[in-house]
Amino acid sequence: MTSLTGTPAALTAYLRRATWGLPRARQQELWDELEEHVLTSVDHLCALGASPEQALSQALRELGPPARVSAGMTQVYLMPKVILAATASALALSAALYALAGGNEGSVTLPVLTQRPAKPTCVRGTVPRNVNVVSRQGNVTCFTFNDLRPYQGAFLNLSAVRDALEAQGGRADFVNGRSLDFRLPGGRNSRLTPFFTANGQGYISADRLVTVVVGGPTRVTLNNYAAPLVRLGSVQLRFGNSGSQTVGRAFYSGLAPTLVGQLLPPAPPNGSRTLTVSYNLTGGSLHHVQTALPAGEVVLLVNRESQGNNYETDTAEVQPDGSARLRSSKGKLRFTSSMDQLSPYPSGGRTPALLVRVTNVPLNNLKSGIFLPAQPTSDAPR
Amino acid sequence: MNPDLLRGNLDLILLSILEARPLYGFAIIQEARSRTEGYFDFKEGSLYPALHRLEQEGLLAPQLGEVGRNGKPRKYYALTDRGRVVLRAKREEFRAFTGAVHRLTGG
Repeated sequence: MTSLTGTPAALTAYLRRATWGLPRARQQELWDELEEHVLTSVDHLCALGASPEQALSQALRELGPPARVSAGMTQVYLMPKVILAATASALALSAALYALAGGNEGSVTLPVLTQRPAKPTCVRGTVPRNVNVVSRQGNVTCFTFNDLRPYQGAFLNLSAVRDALEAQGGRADFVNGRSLDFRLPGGRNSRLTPFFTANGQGYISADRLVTVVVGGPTRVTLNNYAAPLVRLGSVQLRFGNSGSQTVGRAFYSGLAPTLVGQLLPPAPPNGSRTLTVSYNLTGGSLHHVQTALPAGEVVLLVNRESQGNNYETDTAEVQPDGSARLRSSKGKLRFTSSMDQLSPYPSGGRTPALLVRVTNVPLNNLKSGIFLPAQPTSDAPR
Repeated sequence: MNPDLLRGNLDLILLSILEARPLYGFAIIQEARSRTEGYFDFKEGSLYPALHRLEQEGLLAPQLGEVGRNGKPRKYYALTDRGRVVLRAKREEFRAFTGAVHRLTGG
């Protein structure tokens, strides 16, 4: 028996707000649970001398803002599992704990560092402009760039990568104290060597993780632009959890050479192929291309820059209206359906270019992502 | 009580409370208060998301108990085998951490 008569409006309003946004079954379960909690709490407070109204007021206050409860619940039921990345502190969870505490379904989110420490570059002789000189000895000058763009990117902590791989059934171990050797379930051995270290922790470019796995037996697919979701066989990793154009840009631009490599015939096994892939971060001409793809897919534009294996690329996220904005140094393009039709020389005033959908397409069959838009040409506005 | 300290150790605290026997939400809070002589008096709003998360992670299993104040069965939370393993690991980790802090701060 409860001290309150009926279910007061204040309680109903609270429960409605606290369970808002959840799947129906969960909503009912949580409603019952919270309701029972409040009513028990009210009885206890009444036994201590409070009036039913005072008791209800206090019980709801002690439960905290209902929006915070629903936010907490939404995190549990509707968002991908977030596992705190291992840090140098003693509170870092061991890989075994991750394997136990993490679920077997869903992806692991890795935090992404978007700017690496500005380590000085040293040159002999002429020093570029717009730099901050750090030291000068004889003919050698060391400096950092004023413009922070060279230091920006999407970087992953190698310890976090190790823990995430182990939590999802892979094996990963540090060798020589700095490189990470890993093997995905059913995959081959691969090694990741840190690009730089910060606070004693090694970091790699996020795209590197994909590059070392592509070309092996593991099926690799990508999803999402701003918070890339990478599927490496049964392992699923998400880079960043808040969605950032910086992360998307850095990841896909870094991956461009690998993607182009997947579109070309396999390189000769003993020889090395010289492949130059440039990425248009700024400048050039901006093409508005209308695709039939759903919003959120990522599109790659490729055209040949000059003779030999020299390509220029750009990537963009498809907008809700199906359009994608892509840069090229060429103002007039004609879209083709295969790489071997890409010539650096325009014909009929137009440079051949290729459009490839790179998300939700197995990267070892990236050619299946090539598509022709309804409008076969593109003229960038002057 | 420093809320930051609580946040980092909430799982350890909840799993410890449930080690002996299953409890429902309200009882967990009372247990926390009484066993720590009032030191742990956390906002109940943070309790239920944490319990649900631990359940989703397989560390706690739900059990229905006696009929509660709203005429529906109370939801009890019981520690699973997996939960026991994680509790053991977290305790070790906490011991190592506090030991290190102790040595560092000369306590």
